[in-house]
Amino acid sequence: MLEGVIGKVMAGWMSLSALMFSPYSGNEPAFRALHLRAGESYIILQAKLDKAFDNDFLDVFNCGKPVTVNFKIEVRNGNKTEHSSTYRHTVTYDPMNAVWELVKSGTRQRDIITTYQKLLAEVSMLECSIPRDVNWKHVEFRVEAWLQPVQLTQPDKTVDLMVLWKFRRPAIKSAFNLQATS
Amino acid sequence: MSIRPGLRTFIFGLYVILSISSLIVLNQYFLHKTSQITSSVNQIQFDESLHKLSFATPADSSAANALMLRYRESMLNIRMVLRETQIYSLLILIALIVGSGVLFTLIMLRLSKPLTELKDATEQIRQGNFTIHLPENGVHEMKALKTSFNRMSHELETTQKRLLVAEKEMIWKDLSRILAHEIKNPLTPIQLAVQRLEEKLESDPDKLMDMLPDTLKIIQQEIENLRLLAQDFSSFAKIAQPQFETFDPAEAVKEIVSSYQDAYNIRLNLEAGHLIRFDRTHFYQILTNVLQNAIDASEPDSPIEVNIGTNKSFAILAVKDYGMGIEQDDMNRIFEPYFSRKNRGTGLGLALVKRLVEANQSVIRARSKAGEGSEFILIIEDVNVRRSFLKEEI
Repeated sequence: MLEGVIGKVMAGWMSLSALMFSPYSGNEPAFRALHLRAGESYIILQAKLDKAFDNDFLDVFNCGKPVTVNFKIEVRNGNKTEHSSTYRHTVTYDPMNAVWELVKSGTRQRDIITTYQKLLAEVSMLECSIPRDVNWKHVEFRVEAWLQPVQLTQPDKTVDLMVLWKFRRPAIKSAFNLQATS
Repeated sequence: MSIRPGLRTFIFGLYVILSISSLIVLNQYFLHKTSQITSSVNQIQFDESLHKLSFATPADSSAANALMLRYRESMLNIRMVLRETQIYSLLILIALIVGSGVLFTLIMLRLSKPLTELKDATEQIRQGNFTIHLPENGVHEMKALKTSFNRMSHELETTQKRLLVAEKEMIWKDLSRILAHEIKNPLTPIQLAVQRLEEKLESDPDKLMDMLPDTLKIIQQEIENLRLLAQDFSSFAKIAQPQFETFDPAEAVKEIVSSYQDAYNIRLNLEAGHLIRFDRTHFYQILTNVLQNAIDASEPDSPIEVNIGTNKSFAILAVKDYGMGIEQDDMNRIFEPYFSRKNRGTGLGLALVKRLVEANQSVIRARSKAGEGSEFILIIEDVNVRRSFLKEEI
């Protein structure tokens, strides 16, 4: 809760600063519409990050260290959180073969990607399934994304990649009537 | 409602413009330098085709891999340092502006607080509160200003106390003069009556008894007037509160003038049938004052005329003398307190007359010509005429 408020303050502060003093635009990550497909015992959820990796991310994805994009999914019924889980897209560069390895925890798939454009498309796309509770009727799905800090060895330091998103965590929420969609 | 920016607003505005301008200039210089570094970093390219090379041994491949990773990490580190520097410096810049603005405002408020205190204290002084004392603290100049202000308020307070004492003394003096003046007027007829008795006692003692009742009546009347006068002075405020009575002014005039008639050449031409609503004591005070002035201004045998006539719904009482008259320049001042051309007198007589006349809702006029005499005309509403007029209206 407090973390979210601080994040919003920082993001607002950042936007104001950039507006007043800097031509640096950074990235403006945002989710496109949330898609949902409900099965009998599971729900498949799809969301796409937009404008999240346009600037400065070539160096990030090419650094050779695992770069992780986190997606947190929450199912809420009023003020009550019915379900919460976090999925990760982890990208690791292989300089000898000039390819990227992408691991998606949501679908448990591991891909080798050869082009940067495809990498961006894949890393931006979230697809996952969550177990369905039969009692869920009118619920709200909320997806939030953030970047995990990268631990460098040369030099030995941790870099906060959220700087590139201007400390803004993109999020989307949408209400669904699961009785109607099943 | 119009907005009037004060000195603080102007200084604050100037500060904001100057600080933001200087920070923007500094920021632009910084951005220019970071863009030069970014451009230089972007030109570093050495490993783009390294993976296409064939290495002799796995150890060579591993070394090349490690080299490329170190290079990539360094590139990321440089990129992130640049971005972090950009981002954090922006945050610090804004924080500096806001922080310094808040600090500046606090300092301004602290500096201007004594000015507000002084403004409020000045307002207190304006409202007559000279006891106000400001705490002598703050920066040197403000402390000096407050000390000076406190000295001024102290001096004003002392002066005010002195003025109050002087004013009290003045009031007592005025009261004494008025009292003396008013006591003197009834004493003259008493003195004259006593003189007549003495003369009669010496010249014709047998006839003394004949004139004794009238003379005693005069003395008694004057003593009664003195008593009433003393009563009025004992409660000064009551002078302006007339006790209205309805009476015939001709009768009252006859009664008052009778004590003067033997000694002075006073001619009466009194129209009967008028009724006025007036305070009897005030009427007596007015007539004796005017009559005394006429006597003082006239030669001993010079006639003094007292007339009562009518003008519309008013009874007109006129006292006319053929004495020295009043200079035209003095005419506007004769009803002012302490104005007198007589050798004797306080100058309060006519001022008191005017005040008494006004208290009885009447008017007094004077006309005079130097060397020819003066006439004082008292215009009083005739209750009798008004009653008749109202009856006719009905």
